[in-house]
This record gives sequence, structure tokens and C-alpha cells, in this order.
Amino acid sequence: MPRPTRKWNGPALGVLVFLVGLLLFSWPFWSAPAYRAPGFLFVFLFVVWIGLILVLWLMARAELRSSPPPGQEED
Amino acid sequence: MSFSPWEVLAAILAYMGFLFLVALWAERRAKAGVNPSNNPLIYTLSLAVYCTAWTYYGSVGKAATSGMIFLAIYLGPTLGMLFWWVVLRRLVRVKSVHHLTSIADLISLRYGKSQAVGALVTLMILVGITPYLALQLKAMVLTLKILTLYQVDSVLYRYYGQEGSWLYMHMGGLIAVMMIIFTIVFGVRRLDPTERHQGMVMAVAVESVVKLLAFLTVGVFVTYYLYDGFGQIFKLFERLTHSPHVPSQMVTGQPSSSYLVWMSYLVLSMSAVAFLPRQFHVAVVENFDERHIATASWLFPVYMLLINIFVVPVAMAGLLWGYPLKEADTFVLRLPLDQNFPWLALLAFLGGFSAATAMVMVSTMTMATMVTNHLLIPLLQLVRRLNFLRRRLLQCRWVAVALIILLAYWFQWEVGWAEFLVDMGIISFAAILQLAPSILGGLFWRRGNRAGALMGLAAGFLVWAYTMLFPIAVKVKWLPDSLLEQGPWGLAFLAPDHLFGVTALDPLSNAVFWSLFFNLGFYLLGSLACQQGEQEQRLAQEFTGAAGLGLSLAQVEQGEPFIDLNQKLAGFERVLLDYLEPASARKMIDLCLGQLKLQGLDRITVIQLAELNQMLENQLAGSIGAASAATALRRFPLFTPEEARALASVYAQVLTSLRVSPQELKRKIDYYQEKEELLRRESDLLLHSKRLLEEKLESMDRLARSLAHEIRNPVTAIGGLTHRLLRRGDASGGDPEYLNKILSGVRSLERIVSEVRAYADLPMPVLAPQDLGMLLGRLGEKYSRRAQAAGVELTLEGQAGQKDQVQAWIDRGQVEKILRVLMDNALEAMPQGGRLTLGLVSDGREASISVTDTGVGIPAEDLPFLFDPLFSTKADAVGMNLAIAKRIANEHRGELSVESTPDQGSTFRLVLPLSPEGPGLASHAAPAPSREHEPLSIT
Repeated sequence: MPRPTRKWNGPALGVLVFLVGLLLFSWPFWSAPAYRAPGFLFVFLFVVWIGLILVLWLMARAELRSSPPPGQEED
Repeated sequence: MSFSPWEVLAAILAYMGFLFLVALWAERRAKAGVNPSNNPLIYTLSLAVYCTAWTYYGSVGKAATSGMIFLAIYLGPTLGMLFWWVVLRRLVRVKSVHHLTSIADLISLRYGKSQAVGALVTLMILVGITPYLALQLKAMVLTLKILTLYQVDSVLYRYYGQEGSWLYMHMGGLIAVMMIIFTIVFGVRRLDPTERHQGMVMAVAVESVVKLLAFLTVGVFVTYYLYDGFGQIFKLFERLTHSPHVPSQMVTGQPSSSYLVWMSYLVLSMSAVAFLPRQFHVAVVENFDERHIATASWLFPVYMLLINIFVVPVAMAGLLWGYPLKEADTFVLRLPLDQNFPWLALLAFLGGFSAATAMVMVSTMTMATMVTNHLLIPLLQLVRRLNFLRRRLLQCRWVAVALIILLAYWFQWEVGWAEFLVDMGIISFAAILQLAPSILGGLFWRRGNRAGALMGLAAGFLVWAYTMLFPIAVKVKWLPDSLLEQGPWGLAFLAPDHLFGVTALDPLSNAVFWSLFFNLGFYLLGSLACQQGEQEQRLAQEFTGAAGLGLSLAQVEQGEPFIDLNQKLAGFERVLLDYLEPASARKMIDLCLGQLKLQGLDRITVIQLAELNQMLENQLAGSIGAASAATALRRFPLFTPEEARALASVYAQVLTSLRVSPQELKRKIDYYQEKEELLRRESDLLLHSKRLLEEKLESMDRLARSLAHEIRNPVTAIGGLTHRLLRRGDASGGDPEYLNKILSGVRSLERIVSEVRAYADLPMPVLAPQDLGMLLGRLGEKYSRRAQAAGVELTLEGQAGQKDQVQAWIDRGQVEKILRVLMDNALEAMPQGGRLTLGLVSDGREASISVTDTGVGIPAEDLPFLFDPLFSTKADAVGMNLAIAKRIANEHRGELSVESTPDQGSTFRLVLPLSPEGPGLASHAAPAPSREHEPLSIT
């Protein structure tokens, strides 16, 4: 698995992902007629949610790598 | 089949007993130094206290009535997690420095340690959280009744029962009492100055696992046992979308104003997940390692996703099964009961019970802390008559726990019948949102002050109460309906649901918008209009600078250099030039830079700067004394405010890692400083004794030399005169026999004097690398003839006689002298012949030379005195040779020892270091002489 680079941490990325997440979770966006089928809506929300968790995981991993515990070398 | 109430109560008690054992185990492990709660997984699971009975039962209810809107309560926190690493970490650092115990503590500390702010926040939380606690109690009572009284009646369901039984009548009270006991037992057993409860955290983590597993089990049962998976449920449900009992909002949500509700949910839940008192407690107060925040930022959303994944299928299944919409909160229990799976229903009940108890315990515990710290203690300070309560704080907390839970019980008793209680959670979320401006403003805006916080909090709280609590009061008939319809005193624009005539907002959005508007507005207004006090200013700087202004925390943590080294060096040099010559000052700086490996760097970290300052101070202290050096360097403004903040942040990190309070750390430092001082004194005493001993030995040497000199002259004169008398024959009338005895005595005295002088005048060894193997080989060669004559077999062992095997820094002449003494003694010890072995071994650090004979041996009683001056077992010997040998060995930092068995022989062992050790010897080291490479032959 490729090692996450430093671009995965930092407040700018957090703000960007927040705005994208807010857009994807916004009511007008997914209340359009095409999304009205309950199954689709359900899948859409959970897939976006999983994607957001993946981004959070990458960011957390980068943050942890950049701040190793005391006495432990950065790998 | 259903369970009897006593069976369910027994199951509850068994479950809570198990949790108590888990908590005890965690506490004992923590006391033993291995804290199982200090783990990112446990930390994440403790955060899942966010998922209460409202999640467990209410999400299904909300999904059935309002579609996917329930999901906003969990999507909001997931979005908020993007900022946790920045915000929460800062809170954890502030907590580590100031030992915060609650969210009220945080806000009151930030705004100048204001008791008024603390009291206001506590009151807001108390009022705001009570409905939420009431919801948990109601959920527990309701589900317990369902589980015990539920019976399937044809296709309809209802619960019957022993409704007149004592247990049924008092179930609510019984649960309230149980919650009081559980809260005290798990969280308020004792007063902990750190307000950390490892046992309770572990119990909450276990409860989080139980509620997740229970809900997933019910979800799998419904989705894959009752139906053929998600697809079938969705397909069947789609066919019913036109059914009159299935709401259209189940599909798309409410068409009107849903967007605003959705956004309100997102905003409220984002703030609630961090600022609800229980969330703040587990996330900040109980945090052991800020790195856990990073793990929790993705793992906690995973937990929320898992616990919600079956919400919609369960809600749809309940509706497909024909359950009424208004009882959708109970689908989780009813579906297994209807299918005659009572054990699954019991598991589901325990999951819900876990969700409710965890919330009640943590919330009540932290609220009790706030009540005692921010309401009771200020009151005790005002009313002297109540002073006796200061020593009864633990008992006061128990009373606070009981009062808080009883208040919630009263609320659910009075209001619980109203079906909207299921929405109480969101009302509490709105109350907690009122804390957000003061907290976030306090962390990121230095000008935010006490006046602003008080005004903002009070305004937000009043508007929240007016727009959210008043409508409830109307619905439970405490207030007239006209308040909602026409507004107070007929002023429609003041109607709580549509404040200022804004009708476009739904009641929730109306409350959120206006409360936040007034809160934020007054906070800004008050902060801009009023000045901060000195203490408040300092705290504001500390809070906003906990991560450094304009300076990323990561920079400090990663040790990234941001301080201009040359600028600092110029400042240091200016200070040093007041006391030192320019060359000396430069040399001192270079020395420090070299030792800290800072040469050639342009920028350094704040930690490196602190180390450089300390080292320079130590160096300068060698010239002008410690106190003067400290004063001198203090004149130099070492840290800019920004660097000082960075350094404070580093210290905060250190405190977090050490898990000690600043006071405790200071006590430990004091203890070690005292210990160091004692050791230093002891060391000084030893050095003093050593110096005295050396002086004594030196004076003994001088005395011996003087005595030898003084004795030698008269002895020489006596010897000379005695010779003359002997040469004259009997002319003097003396008896020649007596004269010969005098002469013999004089010769003996001369030998003693000579050897004592040799001992006293022994020069310091001049060290040079020598081949010990060759030295022994040559010695053996020299002694071979004499040994042969005495009938002694001389052999070499080990590396003796081998070239280039063992090199040692020795004074060749002195070591050879030792060996000659030992060889002579050995030969003398074997008048009848025997075997003499000369051995050499080395371990790379030391060489061990042994001289072993098979002679008469030495009596055991003589061994302790063998190396003493003037001790000898031979009549004609002075007894200085072995003393001299021992002294030479000691001067080489070596050791000369003996082992002997009478009639079997003796072994003398000389151990010498291979390299020169210590400055004393190194200073005597001489250049290595050219080595001789002569062939060795012993015949």
C-alpha cells in the first residue's frame, strides 16, 4: 500500500473535504427526482459516508506519522 | 413467550455486575501501571457514548417517520471529525496544563476563571440535558415493559398485563434508583483530582460493543432472516409507497423545509459530538494520549456507520409488518418478539439498556462535578455557615447525582407521556450549541472576553429556552395554547415557533437560527465593547496560543526549526562579551554549538534554543558563578512571545505524556533536586576523605624517606667505625665477636633502610605499549638456567611467550620488577625442586599474568599480611618486595593477589588493564617504543 504523503494532513485539506462532504450531503443535491428511489438514496449516502471515512483514515494516518509518540523514531 | 420482570431485572443486575468487574479490573491494572483504557480502540468506543437510546431506538423511529433525515445526526459528526485533530487536540493540551474537569471548567477558565461564567454554563447544561436524561429513563422504562408484558395477539400486537402489579407501578422509580446507584458506583466512588475514571471508561467501551453487536444482530435477523436482504426490503417497500399508512417522507423526506432541518441536524450534531458534557468528558478529560484523537477521527465514524446500517431496513420492516408509525421507536424490540425470538429480544433490550445507562452514567457524573464545582463551592464561599460541606464534597456529589437523575425522572413523569419526547435529544443538542461560540471563540479569538461570553451565553440560552422549552410547556398544558398561536400578549411576531414573524423556518431551525444569532451577536458585541482584565488577557493568550498563533503545532511537534539561530547567537554573544574576551566568548559559543550539533544551522527549534541557553549558562557559570550567569542571561530576552508559547506547548505535551499534574511534576523535580544535592554532598565528602588519605600517605612517604635518610647516616657511621675497630684488632680492647654482631646488625639495618627508601621513592609508572607475551617469554628464558639448577621445571602457559598477542600499556621496568620478585619467591619456595608455571591470558580488556609454583605454600594466617610492608616469613628478608610489587600493580590500576595451599604451592596473579585508564595514568603515557622482534627459545 502506498505510504500517504504529507499532503494528507493540514487544515486546508480538512476544509476542502468538509465543503465537498457538505455538498454531497446537501438536501437539494440528493433530493432530485432521479434520486428518489429509496434504495438509491440509501446506497448513495452510505457510499459517500464510506468515502469520507477513507479520507479521514488517510488524514489520521498522515497525522500520526508526523507526530510519533515520545521516544519513538518516525518510520 | 415473554420474560417476567424479575428475570429481566436479574439479567440487568448480572450485566451491570459484569461491567463493574470490568471496571474494577481496569482500575487495578491502571494502578499497577498498565492502563488498559489508554488505548485508541477503548478511547473510540468510549466516544460511542454519543449513541444513546435515542440512537438505538429513536433512529428507527425517526427513519420511519422522516426518512433518511436521522442520518444527519451521524453525518454531522463525521464531517466535524475533519477538524478534531486541530480543535480537540488543543482542548486536550489545555486540559493537561490546567487540569480541566468539565466543559464548564474550560469555559470559566478561558474567561478569566469566572465563577459567573462557570455557574451560567452549569445551569444551561443542567436545564439543557435534563430532557435528554429523561428520554433515556423513558426508553428504559418503556422497553422493560415491552419485554416483560408483551404478548402477540393475532396480527395485532400490544402489551398487556400485570399493569396493576407493584413492579409495574414503580418501574420508573426503580430504574431511576438503579441509575443513581450505578452512577455513584461506576463514576463517583471517590474524589479523583484528575477526574479520570479508567474503570468507567472501560465499562462504557464494553457497553458500546454490546449495543453495537445487539443492534447488528437484530439488523441481520430482520434483513436476512425475515427478508432476503436489503434489496427485497427496498423492493417490497417501494410497492407500498402509495399505501396510506406509509409516509412519503420515508422515501424522500419531508418536502417542505426538510433542507433546513437537515442542515440544522448537521450543525447541531457537529457541535454536540464534541461539546455535550459526556462527549467532552470522554474525549478530553479522559484522554491519555492526543494521538488517540487521530485514530478516533476515522474509527468512530466507522462505529456510527455500522450502528446505522440496519436502521432503514428495520424501520421499513416494521412498517411492512403493519406496526403503527407512532410506535416506531419500539420496532427493534417488537420484531424479534413477534417472531418468537425472546432471547434475541432480550439481547436487543440489553443493547438499548447499555446505550441508555452509559449516557446516564457519564452525563450525570460530569454534571454532578459541574454542580459541585461551579454552583455549590461558590455558594460555600459566600455562606460561611455551610463551610462544613467543604469536607463533604464527595457526599455532595452523590446528592447531586441523585438530584439530577430524580429531576430527569420527574421530567419524564410530567412530560414523558407526550409523544414528542423522542425529539428531546435534539432539544438538548440545541442547548449545547449555545456553548460553541464561547468555546471556539475562546480557542481561536484572543479578544473574546468574559463580558462577551456572559452576554452571548445568557442571550443564546434565553432564546433557546423560549423557542424550544416554551412550546413543550404549551403542549403539556403548562402554558396556554395562545402563546404559540398568537404570541405572548397577542404579539404574533414574538410567537416562539416563528420568532419575529419568520414563518419560513420550521420550529427547530427557528430555534437554532435565532438562539445562535443572539448568542453570537452578543458574544461579539460584549467582547468588542469591553476590555479584558490582566488575568483574562494572559489566559486568552494562553488558550489561543496553545497551538501557537501563526505557528503550526506540527512545526513544534515535528521539531521543525523556525527560530533564526544567528540572531539568537548575536544576542548571546552580547551577553558573554560583558564578562569574557571576544575570543573566549566565541570559543564558548562554538563549544556549545558543537556539543548540541547546531553548527552550520540557520534555524533551530524552540527546544534546541532552550538547550543552547542552558548550556551557555552552565558554561558561563564556570566563569562568573551560577547565580551571576543566570542573571546575566536573563537580561537577554531569549524567547519572543511566539516562541514562549511554542515552548509552553511543548511543556504541555510533556505533561500529557507524563500524565502528571504540573504540581506533581514540580514535587518530583524538587525531590530529585534534593536527592541530587545529597549525593553531591556525599560525593564532596568522599573526595575530601580521599584527599585527606592521599595527603596522609604522602606525608607517610615523606616520613619514611626522612627516617631512612636520618637512620642511614648514623648506621653508615656505626658500620664504618666498627670496621675500623675490627681492623685494629684488640687495640681498642673490644671483643671481635661483639663487633661482628654489631656489623651484621648494621648491614641488616642498611638493607631495611634501602628497601624502605625504594618503597617510598617508587616513581610513577611511565606507560608505553608493551608485548606482554614477549616480556614473559624473555623472563622465562632468563630464569630457565636457574630453574634447571634448582630442579624446577619452568613452563609457559596461555599466551606467554607468544608474539603480538597481548599488548598492554605498562611501565616495562616496574612490571618486570614485580615478576622477578614473584619468580624469586617461587624458586625459593621449591628447595626440593618442582614446577614453576608462567601464564598469560587476556579477555581484550585486561591481561592476567600468573606465577604458579608447587612449593611449600603460605600459611593461611600469613596471607592477609603478605603484601604489608616489613612483613616476611623469612628470617633474613626485610619484607618490602611484595609490598613494592603490590604498590606497582596498584599504580598501574591493576591488582596483585595470591592463592596458596600449604604444601601444595601458591599462585600469584597480576591483573593489568590493557589500555591506559583515567587521566592520571594517561598523563604518564609515553610514546610507544620500537618493538623488538626477537626469537624466543627456552631450553
